[in-house]
Amino acid sequence: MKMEPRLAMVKAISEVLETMFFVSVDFADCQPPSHACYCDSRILIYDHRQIIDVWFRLAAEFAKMATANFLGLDEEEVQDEDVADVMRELANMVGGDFLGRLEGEQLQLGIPSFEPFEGNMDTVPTKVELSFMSAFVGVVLWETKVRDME
Amino acid sequence: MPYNILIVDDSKSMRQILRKILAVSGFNLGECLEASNGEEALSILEGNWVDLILSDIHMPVMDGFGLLRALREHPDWSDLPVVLVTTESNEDRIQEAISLGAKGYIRKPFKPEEIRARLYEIIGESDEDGTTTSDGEGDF
Repeated sequence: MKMEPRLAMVKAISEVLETMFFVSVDFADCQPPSHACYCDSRILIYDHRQIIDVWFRLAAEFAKMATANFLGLDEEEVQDEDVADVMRELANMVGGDFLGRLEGEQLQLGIPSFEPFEGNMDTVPTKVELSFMSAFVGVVLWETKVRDME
Repeated sequence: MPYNILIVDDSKSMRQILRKILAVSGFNLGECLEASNGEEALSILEGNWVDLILSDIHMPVMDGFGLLRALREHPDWSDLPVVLVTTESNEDRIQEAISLGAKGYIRKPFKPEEIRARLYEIIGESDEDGTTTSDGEGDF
């Protein structure tokens, strides 16, 4: 049975973070701090009719911790390029897992990127907020766009 | 006999993880080679003996399907076993990989035991530690 997209995203995030990053997050609403630095990654999921644009906006400290966990390193050993590469891979794995839960869809994954989110978060219709030990650590946003049929 | 394995993934981190898993799994690992896409993998194969390939599907330049096609058409590499380690979940695309000769697939995210178990299946040796945890998912 086809899973509702928000539930599919929550399950995908949990599965990937717990299996590969050894981190368990909560999805309760949390107030983001006004001064936080973020690491943004993005993946497009598409077919001939639609594009689902998915953004991962994780607090820089959390992204570094997750990267260290993923690579089996101490946080002090993690370089910026490691964080970028691992955040791309996170987008790739969550995007793929999310897609696998949307049964019946013939969508494909694009190549993930590490780039700053420059849109307005308030206008993105769908989002899931992540917290770790009761603190806000990020948000995953996605928007479905109908492709221009030429 | 130690096995030379070629890891093909555009993510350096994923290559590192797979290399670490292979190193600590007790698998009889010889040389572990790395490529960031299918084209690089073919170049490495020109100058190195490889027993098995672990490859991603979604990569720039030449993806996993391109690599499988190139291997199938090459007289020396057409029987080289390829296990896909991928986020791909589309059944049609998986069937396409089967038809192109892939010997197995492991879906990301994965547990280290799945990599170990699948490799033992492919090379036809028993897993001495008996830690095989494959539930059959990803078998062709």
